[in-house]
Amino acid sequence: MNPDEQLDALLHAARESTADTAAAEYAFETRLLARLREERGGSWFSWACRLSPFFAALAVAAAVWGRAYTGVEVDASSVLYAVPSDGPRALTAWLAGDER
Amino acid sequence: MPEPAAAADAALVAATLAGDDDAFADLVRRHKGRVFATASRFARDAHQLDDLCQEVFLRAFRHLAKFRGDAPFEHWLARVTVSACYDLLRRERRHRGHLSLDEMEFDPRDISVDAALAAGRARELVGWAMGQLSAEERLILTLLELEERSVREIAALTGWSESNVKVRAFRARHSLKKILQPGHES
Repeated sequence: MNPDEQLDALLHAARESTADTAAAEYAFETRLLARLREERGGSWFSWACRLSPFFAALAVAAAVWGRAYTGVEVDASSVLYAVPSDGPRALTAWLAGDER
Repeated sequence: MPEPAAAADAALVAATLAGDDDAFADLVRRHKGRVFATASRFARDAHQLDDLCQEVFLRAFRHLAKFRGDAPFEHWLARVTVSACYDLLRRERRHRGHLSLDEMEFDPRDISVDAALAAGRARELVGWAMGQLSAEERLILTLLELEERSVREIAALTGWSESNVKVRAFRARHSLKKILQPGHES
């Protein structure tokens, strides 16, 4: 056989030998629709992931607002009261509630 | 008057566009055999075949609104299939060879065409040799020689002119012959 005839014979044989795709086709629609729904972002998890930056920004904004407008600050004098000049006795009295 | 199959396809397309996923599943069920047959000529293994077919139908779903219904749905889907297969070939350009030598039970460089034919290994040898071609050459030869599509059909599927298809097919065949010659270094 000349090269052209050889190639034709080879291509003919390859054409006749078709792959069996039955196993790959099994439940293909189910897999495809699952992927389609996933890509559409229908799952709660994907929504949660998408919205997480929004919730993070909301948390930061709430913290800033709370700090700026509610004026909740730790009173340094009430903390330092426990360490007055006369030492442990005053601390014990303070802890017992005798001196507030 | 449209044929019953075309009318059924048109109804399923309309229902899918209206949001009915079950209609799309029916559409896939009707056409997956043809898509799998074509895609199996390009995919390396079962996993890649599944990915490729999913890509075809996902593209079809995303662009379904562009289907005008002036040609049968299967022709439109065939264009989508060929486009996805061509994209796969271009992505895989670095992966030279349909099968790596490690994956093959024989070294194609050591076997003549006659011996491959006698051993029933034509598909493997053609797959390996096609893997040495460019994406365009492989697409043309697969559609022309293995899928037995006409030049006109290939032109419609690829968007290339008929004369362009003929020239590319001639060059691809010449390249394939050279690859299959004894002593050719891949």
